Order: sequence, then structure tokens, then C-alpha cells
Amino acid sequence: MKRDILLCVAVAVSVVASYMAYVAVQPVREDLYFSYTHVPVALICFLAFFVSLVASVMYLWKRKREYDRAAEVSTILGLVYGAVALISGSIWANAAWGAYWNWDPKQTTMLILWIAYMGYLSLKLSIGGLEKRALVGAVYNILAFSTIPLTFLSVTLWGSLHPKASEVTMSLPVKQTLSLNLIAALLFFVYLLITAFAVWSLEDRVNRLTYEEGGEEGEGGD
Amino acid sequence: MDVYGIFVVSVIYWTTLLVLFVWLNRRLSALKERIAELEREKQEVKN
Repeated sequence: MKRDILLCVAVAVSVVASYMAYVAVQPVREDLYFSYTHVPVALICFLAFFVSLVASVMYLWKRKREYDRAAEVSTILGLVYGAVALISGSIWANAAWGAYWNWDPKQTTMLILWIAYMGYLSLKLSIGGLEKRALVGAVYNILAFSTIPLTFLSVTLWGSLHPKASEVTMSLPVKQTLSLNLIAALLFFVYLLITAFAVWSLEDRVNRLTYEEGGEEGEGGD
Repeated sequence: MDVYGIFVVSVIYWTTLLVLFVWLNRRLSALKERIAELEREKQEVKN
């Protein structure tokens, strides 16, 4: 029920943001229309990986499986958001810089980040034991997070075409629309994270019930 | 202005959210049904 309310609020905020973006607000630079999708998606991607990092640290500290599951779920969502950020960024790059892919430091470091987190999932799938999988995954996840500061610093370190956040001039209505889009994206992300976590928990419960059933059958057979 | 690009980006974003939403909710209902079924079976075995 709480999830449904969250979803309704997210949809309402997006509808208002869409109205503001396409009717009330005229950005000075027209390609800033891309920012209404690209910026929230990219920030949510980083947020998802940050949540994943926190969950991994908590797993190493408390050794509870829920934290490992939260890290995994958050990483999967981060990868989905990251893929959308990469694609939307490429389409914006084509409009602003003339090519979809320029091997720009920002694009390249973002791709490295995405591959690093795909590595996290591959690593977890390749390890057999639950404990070992969770432990190795948590350590790898903490190392993979180092790619996020690299993505942020790439703009200043290697002279990227990608503008710094402080350099972009936006009028107040554009900022307001962007903020609303960010709030909507955040609400959708929280909704998806809660639902995905519920799915993974139920899968665990199904496995436990099936295992218990199998155990009983095994005992009966003996 | 690259209207086509903006449209494509919006479609990709909303389609991704919609697919995730539908897939997660379908999976959630399927798992709830499966748990109810397993618990019913467990209860029958006990009885």
C-alpha cells in the first residue's frame, strides 16, 4: 500500500514536471531539454551504486545476508539506470558535439564504471558458496566504487567536452523543472528498490520452503 | 533543436521504468502465489 502511494506521488510529480518542461519553460539552450532526463538518470545511477556500497560495508560489518541482497539489487538497478544514462548521454552528445561517441573522458569513465559493476554481477554469479559469494562480492563492490569519483573528476582532470555542473547556466524555471524531474526519478528509484528487494526476499523464502520440503522428503525416504 | 533525440531519450527512459515496474510486480505476484502453494502443501503434509 505504501509502495502504491509512493508510485502515485512519483507519477504526479513527473506529470507536473513534464508540463513545466514542454509548456511553461523555454530553456535558453534548447539542447538543455535533454538534461531533464539525462541528469536525473545519471545521478540516480550514482545513488544506486552508493546504496550498494553502504550495503556491502554493512555486510562486511554485520555479516547479514539482507545487506548482501540489498547491495546486489541496488547494483542491478544502478546498471539499468547507468545504461539509460550512457544511451541518453550519447544521444545528447550527438546533438551537442556532433557524434554519438567521442571517447570523451566523461563517456569513457562512465563506460568503465558500468563495466566494473557488470564485473561485480559476473563475479557473484561465478562463485558457488553463499557466504564466499557475498564476501568476495562486498570487497569487489567497495573497490568498484572507486570508479565513481574518477567519473566526476574526469571533467577537470582530462579536459572533457562534458560541462562542469557549475559552468552550466540555467534560468530559475529550468532549474525548478530539473529539480522536479530529479524528485520524480528519485521516488521511482525508491519504489523500484523496495519492490526489487521484496522480490529477492520472496525468492529466498521460496528457496527455503522448497529446501525444507526437500529435506522432509529426504528424511521420509530414509 | 534535436526534437527526435529528445523524444527517443524520453521513450527509452519511460520504457525502461515501465518494463522494470511490470516485470517486478509480475514476479512479486508469482512468488506470493508460489509461497501460498508451498505453505498449503506443507500444511497438508503435516495434517
